[in-house]
Amino acid sequence: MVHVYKGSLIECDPPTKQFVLWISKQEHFDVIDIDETHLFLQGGDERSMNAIQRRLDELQNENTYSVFDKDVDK
Amino acid sequence: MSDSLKRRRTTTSTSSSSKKDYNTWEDYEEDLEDIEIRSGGVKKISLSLEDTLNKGNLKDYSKICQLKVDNKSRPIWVCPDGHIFLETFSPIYKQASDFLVAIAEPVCRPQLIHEFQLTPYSLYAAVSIGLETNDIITVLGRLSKLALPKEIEQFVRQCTQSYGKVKLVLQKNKYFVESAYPEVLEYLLKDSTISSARVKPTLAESVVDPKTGFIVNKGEVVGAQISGGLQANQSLDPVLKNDALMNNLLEEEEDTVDNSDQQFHSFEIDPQHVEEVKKRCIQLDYPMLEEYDFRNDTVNPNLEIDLKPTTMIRPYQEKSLSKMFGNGRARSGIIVLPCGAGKSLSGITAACTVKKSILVLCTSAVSVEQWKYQFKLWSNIEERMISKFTSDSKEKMYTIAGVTITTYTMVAFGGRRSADSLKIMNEIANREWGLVLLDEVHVVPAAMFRKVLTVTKAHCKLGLTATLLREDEKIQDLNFLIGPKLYEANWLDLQKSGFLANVSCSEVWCPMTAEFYQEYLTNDSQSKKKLLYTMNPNKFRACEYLIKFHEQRGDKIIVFSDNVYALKKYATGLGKYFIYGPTSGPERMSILSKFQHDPTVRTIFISKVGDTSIDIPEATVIIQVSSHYGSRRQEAQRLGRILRPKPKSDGLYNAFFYSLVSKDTQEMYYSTKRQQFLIDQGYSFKVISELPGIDDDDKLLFSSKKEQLDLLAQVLGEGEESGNIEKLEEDFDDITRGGSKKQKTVVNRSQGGSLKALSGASGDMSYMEYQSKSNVQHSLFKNRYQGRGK
Amino acid sequence: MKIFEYLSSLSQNELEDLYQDQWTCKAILRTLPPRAKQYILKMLMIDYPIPISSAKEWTSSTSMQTHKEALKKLFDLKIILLNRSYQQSVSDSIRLNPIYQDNIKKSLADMNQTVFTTQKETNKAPTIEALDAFSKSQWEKVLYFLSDEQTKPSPLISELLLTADLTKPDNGSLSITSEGFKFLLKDVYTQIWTLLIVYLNNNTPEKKKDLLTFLFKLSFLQLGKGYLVSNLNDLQKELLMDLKQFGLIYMVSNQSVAFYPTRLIISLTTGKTLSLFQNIAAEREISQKEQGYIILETNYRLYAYTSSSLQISLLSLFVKMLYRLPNLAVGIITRESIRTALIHGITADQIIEFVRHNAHPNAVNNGHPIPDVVAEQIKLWEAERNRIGYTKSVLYNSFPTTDCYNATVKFAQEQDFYIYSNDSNKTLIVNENGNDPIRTFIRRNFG
Repeated sequence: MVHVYKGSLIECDPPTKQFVLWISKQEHFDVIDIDETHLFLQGGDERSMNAIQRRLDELQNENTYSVFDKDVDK
Repeated sequence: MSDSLKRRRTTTSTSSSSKKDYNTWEDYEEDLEDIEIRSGGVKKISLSLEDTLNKGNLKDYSKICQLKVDNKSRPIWVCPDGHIFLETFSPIYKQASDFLVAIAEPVCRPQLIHEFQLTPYSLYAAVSIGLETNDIITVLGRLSKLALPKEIEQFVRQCTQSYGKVKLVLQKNKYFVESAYPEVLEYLLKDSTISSARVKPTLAESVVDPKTGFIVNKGEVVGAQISGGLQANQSLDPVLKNDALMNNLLEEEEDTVDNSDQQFHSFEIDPQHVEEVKKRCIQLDYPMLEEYDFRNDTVNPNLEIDLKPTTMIRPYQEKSLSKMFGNGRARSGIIVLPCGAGKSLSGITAACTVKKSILVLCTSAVSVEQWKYQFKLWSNIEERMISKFTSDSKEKMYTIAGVTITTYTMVAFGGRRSADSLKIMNEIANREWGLVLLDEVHVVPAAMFRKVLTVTKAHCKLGLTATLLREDEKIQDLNFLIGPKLYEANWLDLQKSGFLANVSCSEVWCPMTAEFYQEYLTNDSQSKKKLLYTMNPNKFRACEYLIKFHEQRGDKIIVFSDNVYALKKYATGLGKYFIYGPTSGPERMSILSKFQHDPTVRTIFISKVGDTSIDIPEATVIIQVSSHYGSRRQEAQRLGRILRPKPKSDGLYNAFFYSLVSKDTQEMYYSTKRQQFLIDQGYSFKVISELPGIDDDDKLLFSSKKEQLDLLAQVLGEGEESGNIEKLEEDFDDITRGGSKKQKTVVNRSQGGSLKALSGASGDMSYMEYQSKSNVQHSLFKNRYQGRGK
Repeated sequence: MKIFEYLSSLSQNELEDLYQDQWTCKAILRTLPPRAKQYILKMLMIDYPIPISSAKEWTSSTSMQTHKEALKKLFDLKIILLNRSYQQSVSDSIRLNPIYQDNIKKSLADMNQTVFTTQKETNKAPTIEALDAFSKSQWEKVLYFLSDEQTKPSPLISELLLTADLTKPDNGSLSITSEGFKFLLKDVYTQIWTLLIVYLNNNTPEKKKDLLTFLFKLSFLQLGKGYLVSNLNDLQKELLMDLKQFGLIYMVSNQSVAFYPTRLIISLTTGKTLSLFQNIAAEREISQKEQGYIILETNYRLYAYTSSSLQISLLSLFVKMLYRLPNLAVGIITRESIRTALIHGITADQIIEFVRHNAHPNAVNNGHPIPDVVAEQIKLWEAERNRIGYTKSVLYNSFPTTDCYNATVKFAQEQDFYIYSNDSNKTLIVNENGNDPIRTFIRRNFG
């Protein structure tokens, strides 16, 4: 029997895909792995998408150095 | 005055880190990183917008400060918090810039607008080279578009009122505490330490003022002749003295004073107690300037040394030295020039001016060789008058006056020495050195300095460095152990004048492959994470791509990798020579020689050894594959490898600096951090997010998934150690960096002894002793004692 | 010119309605480009259509472009009407719109017309400088509402901004939109017209016509002179109040006897573009270069030579401001500051264009109105936000056979439901409308 799922197709670059996969457990949403650049977010509701965006923002934030991490008056 | 907004991340660690006595500056930086990593990876506290708004709050001075009517013709803005902005397109930019560099710390100096900050240290430095309080205030006011804020005037007065009033003068081998203000001397003498150090005048020709009991000298006027026949510049450019804008010719006092009528009072002190007296004066808020009257030093033998007539000094070198010799005496201090801009020549010129025995301290045996070579290249010194003192060569010192070149480690060593070594060491300790040149001053830990400077008797100390970073800890030590900053060159200006190569800096973003990234995310080991982002196959391919591209152009390429595993993998994978710690001396020479002369050897890979221990030949391209955390100093130093001026190719860039980073990993963070210093100097890092055509090139390694997966398996199979940077158990002479952070670095030599012992950290005198005694702390020095641990 | 765009969007009937008023005709004539003016005058006295080919003779071959443009404008405004000839041999012909023709003739003939009665000279009349200052401050207030979320606008302005899509509701307050940001970049006349058009459209067609006519009349007034309010009808009096909010006219109070036009309203329809931010006293030609005030350096620091709170507030939209001095504002562009702007709907291109447009002459002369590295970095930060694409869809997997899979894929493609598929794990993704048809398809063909 063919399985049907409703939700959202996620398209992104390979590292991001890995990232989304990784956080899927932590943020409690289900994804179906399709290929290197595609995932399917089951349910595809706002909450999960927001969670993904939030985590992604956090990741990018963490990996970015800003002059305000240090003393401003140098 | 400047609020210290401590990094949030390390609020807990500053207390612990400040307790430790760091062996190297790198240790300090590493420690900070380490603490974060141990606490679970790079955890930035994500700042909400309000936070960022509150931090670095907008400083609104628009109502407070008054704009002058003719503001368009003035080049600077001075803010009440000591921050200064300078327009480079102003007609008097040059003079204004020179002035600002002398009185303030440059914050950033890109193309059009430069920023400076007035700090107590910078004002101390200003006074040290002879600028007077009123001069500073007047000229600042004159240059400023805004009416000079009251706070600034107060600040300048407060910081400079007690500086520069007292000097420690070494004359005819006697030490004198000198001042133009007898009341200051009297105040100092009230202190028991100082008064007990005082001795009766021992020189026959001293003239004593019966009323005060002080020796009285008349001052001298003559500006020093810097070797080579160049006249020392005055501190204040004539342009600044004339306010042509207001048609007012104010008479400004010349650099340190037309001394002819000024009386100087002094008292002599016992040479044994000089250090104590110095410290005491600091605590009493009268830090002593140290000046060496070398022309009148008849006791110490002269050294016949001069610059060769063919030696050309560049304008900025001349300028830096004029600050040093401004009033006819030699001032101690630090000169900051970019790598590749000729620091050695500046030092050598200073030596040729002083013409007394010179001691040169370097960071490694290799540097010793380089310095000797430079001395012979630029000056007419005879071979027999130069001696080297390293673990490998213990040459006899020339008896009368000469140049001795050695390393910090050799002098600071506290263990047992061999007989030869001991003999020479004693001679070094006993000789009165006219000038001590301290190379790469930013690298050496404070404790080591203290040891070195205690052991040797130097009349004048000149520190040379390319990167004077301004973290609190370091700058205090350098200021007080050696002297204030005398001069700091502007990188962009030097580049524009052709003294530095025109470098194109780029950061190449290499996306992680899916598998590597997955591992990176899920693996808990920090060290493994590091290895993963270093060995990212896409990074490898980018490296290969760039190498191919530049080799085709005929460039000479050096690839740096701090991580040894990566170094070997890359180099062997691409079939290139590599040099790292265990590479033997002769092999190194051979590889380097091939690099220089063999047209088929266009690329070599080097590990951390390249940072100091090797004399790296000219290259036009540098690629960084893996580097050491966020060390800005290292970044600047590596850049310096290609900064030597090149013949202009097609008028544009003639040197290239690439930093390869793996996207979406911690490496990005560290990379940006490292670049800060260079960005402040005016460089900009282009981001290359795609290398054109790289995906189509299947001749590159790791193009196939299989290769990538194989590599991943290998990387995962590696032990913990592989993720770390190289530990160099190097030359005894070498100041090693990044050794194990927790353990003492044991140097395997017959003498044994730990680095800690070498640096004299155990049992040395420290300023901490005085904390309890003194309550009165000048703001300048307060921080020095706070948080220093008990 | 915004006004032409607007007028061109009206129907012929609406336009003819407008053309009943002489002042309107005159105002429009005044604002037309020279060639168009010429053509109107040429046809003024001709009551019959002339062939289009003869119109061609009015122009030389080199200025054919101008000729075509002028004609197009006149067509769009329905000032010239085209008579299509359905016969082969006869060419199309054109004639002046009779209503327009009539009224313009009348207005040109009558030299003594006055728009509104002037007030007697009094000492209480505001000076031209005062008028300028007033209109500048009023208009700035409007722009302020846009860029600074904290200020509270008047209901009218607030509504207009919302209707014009320049702001949007955001958690109880209003915040600027992407359109709003673009708006801020435009010159003041375009800005005013944009809001005026929204204002006009908010009214009934009747009122609209009257309002427009009134506006055109106002443009014939003289700067510095006062005019009697009593002359106006009720609708016009109402409009006056609103125009005061825009800084287009000045009245001491709502009960005043006289009103004063400001420079803005007078030049509104004449097509002159004066920048509000310069010293209006000298009506000189200001090149873009001289207006530039921003220096952006390679270290991401931004220096703005300005004392205008508005400009600084504009910059704060995407720059973290650090210092404010009497004639300089200093800030730094950070990832955070750009992201804040991006989250508000401003695009990287808009930011880059804004800086480039307002670059300080020194930066421009240096060859880099905006440093490439910074521009690229801003774009990269924008790209960061677009790393993931979401498409609402339906996924099918676990197909029993490859044939079943292939057939379904084909079907989906033929029916335009197809979004994506992966052959190796036999997964098919289609859009939502395709769900039912596909399920039916599968059931029907593969049991």
